[in-house]
Amino acid sequence: MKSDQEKGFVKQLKAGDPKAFARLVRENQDVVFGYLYRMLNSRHEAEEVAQEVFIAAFRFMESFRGEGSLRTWLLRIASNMYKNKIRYNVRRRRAWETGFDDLIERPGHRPIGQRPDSPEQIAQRNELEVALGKAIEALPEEFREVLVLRDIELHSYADIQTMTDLPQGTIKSRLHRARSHLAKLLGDQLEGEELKQ
Amino acid sequence: MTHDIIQRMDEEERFLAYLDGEFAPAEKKALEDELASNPELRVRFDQYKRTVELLGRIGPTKAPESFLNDVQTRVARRPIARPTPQIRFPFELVAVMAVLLGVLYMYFVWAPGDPGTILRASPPSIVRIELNHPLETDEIRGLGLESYGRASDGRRIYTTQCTTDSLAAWLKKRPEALIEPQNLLATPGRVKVLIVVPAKVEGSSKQPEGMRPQEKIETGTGVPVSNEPP
Repeated sequence: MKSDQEKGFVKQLKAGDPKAFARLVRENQDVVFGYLYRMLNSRHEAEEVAQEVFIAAFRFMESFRGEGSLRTWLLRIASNMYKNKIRYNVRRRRAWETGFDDLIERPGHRPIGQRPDSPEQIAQRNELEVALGKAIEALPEEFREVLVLRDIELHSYADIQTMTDLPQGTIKSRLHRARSHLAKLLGDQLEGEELKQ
Repeated sequence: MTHDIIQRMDEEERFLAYLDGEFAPAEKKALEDELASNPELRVRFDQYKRTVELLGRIGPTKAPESFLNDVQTRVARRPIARPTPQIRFPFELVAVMAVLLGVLYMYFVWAPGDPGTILRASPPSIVRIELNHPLETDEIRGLGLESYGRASDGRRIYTTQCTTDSLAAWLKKRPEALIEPQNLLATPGRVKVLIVVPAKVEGSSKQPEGMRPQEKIETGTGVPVSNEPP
């Protein structure tokens, strides 16, 4: 059941209130962008598609029926737009170095109060993320989606079910296979991680 | 083969449940005991677990600082075609109207009797009636007659439109009337009536009904003197 506050917010959005729309973008931009970035493995493409997601949300706010959360609805739009992009555009094979550049300029996800990472730590993490990015990109699309939503974006199974329209059993099965596949692909890096720990 | 599939399904469910924290303490201990005694399973599980941990450490990605501004700029640049409120087309109403129109059509055009016959007889056929006496006021009023002018022989002509039923009823009191054509009265419908009566009427002082305003009254007769050419 949605709170009155959330219902009021949705009402403002449906009325085309620009302040409400700005709040919607601020509160969800990282989640939408993050999901698309992990799926597309390109900051530039992710930014472009994420902007389209919010523009579509603004234009078609009337179609939001309030069955799930706004965030889930936005991610569902993002998922559809991502699939459209893959389906209709010939995806350019980018050099992985571009991805590496992206990671260096990425603002990072350091929790509040934690000391800034040392250059060595940043380098190590970037190296790992590059390897992870490659491995994730190599996964079949249907496995990649559930892996990104569950293990990177940390959504609940119920939310993923709403976003993907998949039964929970299928989500879990795909997630397990994606993780197992990734574990095989990351074999060496995982050994290195073990040594670091 | 079947055993492998079952084993894989079992492993899948247990690994997922363990890492999702869905295991009861007894189930958790059972898996840990099995991992301790099965090195192959232990390797698979450790790799699996480390992969999940590694993915979790990536953490959420931040959108660019200018993201909100960029979106707002793009929204402002495009004309906002907000969907207009959907007006549901009232199919039920249209269906009811169509049926109603059909019934009315059948009633007025195809069904026998009044008032359908009124429409069916349109435009009205003409019935010519000759009387050998002038009309009294109540006779004129009874059929709603209006003066039409004079015939070439000087006789007065009255006209009206009415149903054949009402004309037949009116004519019952005037059996001497010559009716042409007679068969029209047998057909239910609306007819135009022309009644020709002798010009001179003796002993009546009342002005007949339906007389035109410009018509003069013949002194002592009550019959209008036409200003139309004979």
